[in-house]
Amino acid sequence: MKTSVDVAIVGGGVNGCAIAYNLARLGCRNVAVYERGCLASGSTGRCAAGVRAQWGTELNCRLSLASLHKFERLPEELDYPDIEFKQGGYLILALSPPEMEQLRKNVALQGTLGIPSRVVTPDEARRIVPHLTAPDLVGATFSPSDGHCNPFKVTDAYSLAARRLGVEINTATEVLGMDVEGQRVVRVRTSRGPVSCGAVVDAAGPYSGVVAAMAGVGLPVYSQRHQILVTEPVAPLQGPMVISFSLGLYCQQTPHGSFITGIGDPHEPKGFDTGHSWEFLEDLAEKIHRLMPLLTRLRIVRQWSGSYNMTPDAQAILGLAGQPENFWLTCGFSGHGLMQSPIVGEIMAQMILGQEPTINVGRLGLGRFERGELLLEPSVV
Amino acid sequence: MSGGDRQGPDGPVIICRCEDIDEQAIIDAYNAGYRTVEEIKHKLRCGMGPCQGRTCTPLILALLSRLSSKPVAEIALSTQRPPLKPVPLAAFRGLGRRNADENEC
Repeated sequence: MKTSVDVAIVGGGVNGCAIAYNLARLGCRNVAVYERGCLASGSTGRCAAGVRAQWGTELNCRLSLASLHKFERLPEELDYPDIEFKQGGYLILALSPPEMEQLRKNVALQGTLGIPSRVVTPDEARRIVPHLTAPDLVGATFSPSDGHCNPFKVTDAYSLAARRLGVEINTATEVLGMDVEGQRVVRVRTSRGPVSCGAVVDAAGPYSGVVAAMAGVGLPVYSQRHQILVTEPVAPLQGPMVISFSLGLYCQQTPHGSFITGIGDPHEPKGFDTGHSWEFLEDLAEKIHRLMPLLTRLRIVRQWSGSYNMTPDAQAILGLAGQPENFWLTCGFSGHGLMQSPIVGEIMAQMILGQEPTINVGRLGLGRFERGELLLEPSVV
Repeated sequence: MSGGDRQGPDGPVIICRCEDIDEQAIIDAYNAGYRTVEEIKHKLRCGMGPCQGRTCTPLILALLSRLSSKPVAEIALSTQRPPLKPVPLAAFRGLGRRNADENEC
């Protein structure tokens, strides 16, 4: 293991690996990633892997749309055979008039940004997803270019491409502490020894707050369990991801044929729990029955959970922490880290290297919380 | 070690029946740096199918033991999760209500 690097990245999820790759691509190759488990073993590999540009704030729309374009070309860019990217669209359901009102506003915003979303009637929604019943459906929005990918493969693709460019990727290597001298982190202490560093990136997903505290940085984040399951594979049945913000539910058929579906629990306590409960299965069964009863005949093969790393406005924290002056934040994705990783990896690498970022993310800095300039995202599950 | 030239009577040795992964694919993954049960699962989907690894996991452990010259007991397993066997989602509808009714009896 190297004992001195220009950039030390804490966290081997998709964002850590995407930043490492982009740094190396832009010429900074003395870079190392430190991952406690194996790659994608935190939130990345546990996520539902949806990729959508249908958001409710301009910045989320722009980051996600730019990422969508990058996902389309990712196998080519990273010389990787297949990331199982499926663009079957996202069908976002409105189950009440106020919910429809919010979705209409979102679509109006999305239209100004080049996102091909549109409002659809309940009948049209049921033509797009024939097994959708949802008796209380008021309307929906649909965007055909949204989709789904395989988070393990995306992370694998970034890490292999990064390694080919000289990045050192360390798994089973836990960051235990940091040494701050003057205004800078000068060293990260890992379970395999100390490493001097020019800069540090906190891409530790659910543990971003713990890692930031090692550098003396306080983050207004918390982690929260989200449960999910996968069914047996069946013949192609459902093109788009079906999602309901008011039920906190999403449901997608992967190219492999299995359905991946999950539901948020508003009463879930904060913390790092990644266990599972039967109450989740019951809640999900009831709500899937309400929306798409046919799917309750599918057999569950596995249930699991992962953590969302939440911020007060459900948007990521990107940029310098301030003090120490060489500590970069890429965290608090609030459940949408994978879908923004292609552009975030590029933007973070550009900012670390002092270059103009592809998209200005100045408003996503840590300082927004102190200034009270929250960018509340209305459309999350 | 080579280990990759073993063929069944009619072709490759299948390790994961659910996802159709043969021994050679696992050996190739191991040689490419995917060294744990978890990493092999992420790379090849072994253990993610309907049997949830009940068939392939012991075979993968034996193979990893052979490739790494470590005893099976020292090779970390991936996390086992419910259900034990595939169950229709419909079976969980009204579960809490049914439990409550039974408790009242």
